[in-house]
Amino acid sequence: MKVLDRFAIDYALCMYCGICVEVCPFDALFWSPEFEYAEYDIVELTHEKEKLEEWTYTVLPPPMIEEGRRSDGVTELGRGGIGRRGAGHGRTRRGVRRGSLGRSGAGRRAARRDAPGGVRSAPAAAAAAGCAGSGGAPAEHAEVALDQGDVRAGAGGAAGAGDGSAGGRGAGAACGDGGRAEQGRGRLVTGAEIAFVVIGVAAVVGAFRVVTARNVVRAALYLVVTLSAVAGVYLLLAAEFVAWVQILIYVGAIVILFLFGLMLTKAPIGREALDNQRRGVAFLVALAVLGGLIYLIQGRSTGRRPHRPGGGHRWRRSGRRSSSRFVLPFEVISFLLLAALIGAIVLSRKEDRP
Amino acid sequence: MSIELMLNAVNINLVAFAAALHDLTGQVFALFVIAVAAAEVGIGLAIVILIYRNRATINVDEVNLLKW
Repeated sequence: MKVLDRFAIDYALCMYCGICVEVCPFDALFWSPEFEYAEYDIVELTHEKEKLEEWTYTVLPPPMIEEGRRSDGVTELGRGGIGRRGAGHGRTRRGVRRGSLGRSGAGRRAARRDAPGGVRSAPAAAAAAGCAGSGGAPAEHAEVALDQGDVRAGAGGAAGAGDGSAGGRGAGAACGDGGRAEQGRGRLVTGAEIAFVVIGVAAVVGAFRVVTARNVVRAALYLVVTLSAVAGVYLLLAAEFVAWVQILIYVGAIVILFLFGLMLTKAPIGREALDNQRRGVAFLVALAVLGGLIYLIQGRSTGRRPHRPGGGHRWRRSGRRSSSRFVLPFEVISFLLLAALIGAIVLSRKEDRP
Repeated sequence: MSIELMLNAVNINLVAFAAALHDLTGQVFALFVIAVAAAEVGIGLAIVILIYRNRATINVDEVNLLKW
């Protein structure tokens, strides 16, 4: 079995004929309007897939499907002139092509409008890289469909001809999210839904214990559970940035502040309240964490890398959003934080004046 | 801590609707809420420590200085 282990385009050789874009069986190659990439060294002109990933974000959205027109007519490629092929962003080019690599942009849009005409192309095979977003993300482009796993997943989808969910299952296995592969067929329970139920139950139980716990320190620790679960919900909603901020700020800073406050004010903590004498379990957990870390590091050094989601462009967009349209609130929040900082220092300073 | 729970509930709503409406504004707003929560916790902790220092208790029933 042939496995694609490297994907690169040598732009020193490419003459932009566009044949590869036309014939790609997985709809993985697309024109991008970007074309300026002069380099000092000719070696640099060979763009590996990491480099190609950057161009995928510049691929223009597919043309809107006209009402009552079959998608067979949608063949516009290479709009925006000469450019390079970006990967991903599966645009339905020849109509119904289920299981094509990447979510087909046209198909998604059509599906949103209740599938006019013959457009039934299931937005299948949520590209493994973009799976975080397939739970309803606004992603206009399917991100990095060029991961090796994706290519294989796409191949699986194409092999099971017409089986839209085959590729979805392959991709879902990589990240526990089958996306919307099951659209239009029997309702399946996706990994994202299972994860949501588990995380939701954890969050609600944790929140309940926060309110009912008699020991304040326990309440604070249950708060960690709830906040982490909420971060998981953010991840499922494809809001990675908010999720990591939640972990950093809430779990990392706020809960620690709470614990500091509790300890500084002699809350009922102590050996009998905090230490539940389960050294053995703690030792096992520590061993498991150590083993997991060693396994991950080993996998990295032998080339078996853990799955790396390519959600970069969503972060980029949210960053751009927060630094362009929301500049004023952003500055206000910075000032608020500064004021809070100074206020906290002033409040808690010891009165050492005579 | 309960305030944090409430803020988190609001944040979940913001992010969920941001995802449902394909609009990033909700996410940005959730970030602002998180920042405000951080500021609030910092100030709150300072106040609590101050109260504890002055009155040697943090039982809210005994802190009735402002009560008439």
